[in-house]
Amino acid sequence: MSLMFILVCRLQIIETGSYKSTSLQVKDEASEALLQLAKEVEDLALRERESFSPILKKWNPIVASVAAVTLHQCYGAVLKQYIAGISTLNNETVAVLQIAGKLEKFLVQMLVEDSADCEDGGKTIVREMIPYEVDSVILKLMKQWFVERLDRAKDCLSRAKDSEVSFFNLFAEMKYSI
Amino acid sequence: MGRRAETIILPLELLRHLKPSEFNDSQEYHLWQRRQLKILEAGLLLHPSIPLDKSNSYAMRLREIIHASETKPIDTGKNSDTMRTLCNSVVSLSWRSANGTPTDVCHWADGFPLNIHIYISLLQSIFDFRDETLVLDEVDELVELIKKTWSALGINRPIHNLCFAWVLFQQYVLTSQVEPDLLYATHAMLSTEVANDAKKPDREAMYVKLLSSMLASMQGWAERRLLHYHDYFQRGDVFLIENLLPLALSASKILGEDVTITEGAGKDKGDTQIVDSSGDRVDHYIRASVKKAFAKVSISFCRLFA
Repeated sequence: MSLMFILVCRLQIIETGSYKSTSLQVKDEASEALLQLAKEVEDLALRERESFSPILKKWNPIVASVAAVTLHQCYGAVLKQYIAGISTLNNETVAVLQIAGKLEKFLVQMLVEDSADCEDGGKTIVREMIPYEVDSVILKLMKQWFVERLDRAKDCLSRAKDSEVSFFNLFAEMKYSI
Repeated sequence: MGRRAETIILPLELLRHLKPSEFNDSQEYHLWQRRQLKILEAGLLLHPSIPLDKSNSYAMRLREIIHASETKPIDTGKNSDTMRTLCNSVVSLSWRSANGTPTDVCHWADGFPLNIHIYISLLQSIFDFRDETLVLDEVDELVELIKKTWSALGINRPIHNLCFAWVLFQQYVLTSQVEPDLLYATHAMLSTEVANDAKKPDREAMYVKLLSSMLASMQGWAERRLLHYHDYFQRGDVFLIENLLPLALSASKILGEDVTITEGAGKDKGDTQIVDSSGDRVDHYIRASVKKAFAKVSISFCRLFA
């Protein structure tokens, strides 16, 4: 995973400067917002666990799990929307996907700790957490990225070949006219 | 006088015995007289405990007198015709009975909801007027005195218990929610006395009406906070949930929502599953509140994609 990240960063650096379109700026804002949102969600989860769950626990044994699941779903819905809008992999999108993965781990941990002692060990509630599968999203995007690069390389190659041919022809023509 | 309290029509007696000369000026007297007549109007014409026949001539005469008093005070002197007619109408209307048989209690303030308004005002005297979050030490003696109005106001023990819980709750809200003991006392009253009364089979229609509206009001108030608890409770006052939640839960329980029938796991077998709902309600509060808290922090994101 970290190797993949470094690789992506390198590739991104090579490309810097070539992507300053308006659509990308919106995407960057979205990435920024999603990174910020992940932090807010973690804060909400902490506040829930520290302030509210100890009180609410008297009436429902798995209150922290319920909060964790709800937050996971809320962030998941926004993340899904974001992923649907990603066209290519870049620094920001990878950062967002990684943070989402971290947040997911945190919420799962919160659920596991909270529901360990309950009757079914949290089996029912954990089913409500549909995994974000950020790793597979990253892999998919990377694959797409490679295919795109390959296509472009092929394109360049064929264009080079064409121009070489036409250059040769031109040269031959010039020679002839001289 | 030796008369029983429930046979005295208080506003009428006051009108008969207080003279205009006992007031600072005629305007003050007029306002006071209007108030007494308004009470009679509310108790005898607007909310009579025994339904009134439209063609009742006493009611028509009383209505005329009350209408006339709007512009100038009516003459309440001994020889006044108006006063004689007023007394006659009020007494006749008060001593009606549901089936025409003679009654030993007069009905001038026992119609719903006038009786409840009066009773609740009486109950509010249990609070210390210097610090309205406090219940007076003499509360038991006071309540004993207040109970003497039961026959005149048509109150019984279940209604008393319910109004008592309501007054405690109302005082908590009126005093800016600074005294959680009031909320705790409301819950104590609801979960014991009121819960027991509500289960009895022979509940009267007025009681059921009062019960559902008071409980729904308390439940609604509590749930508005519980469904937004991230917003309503900050670090210092989170403990208030501990008093508020039981109140919402007992109110829901009495309102008959204590068992919810869900078509969950048992669906395939064609039977239903009964779920204890206090855990479910708390689950609902958490999900709703967390979602709202999330919506609040994600506003910037939503704007971006709007």
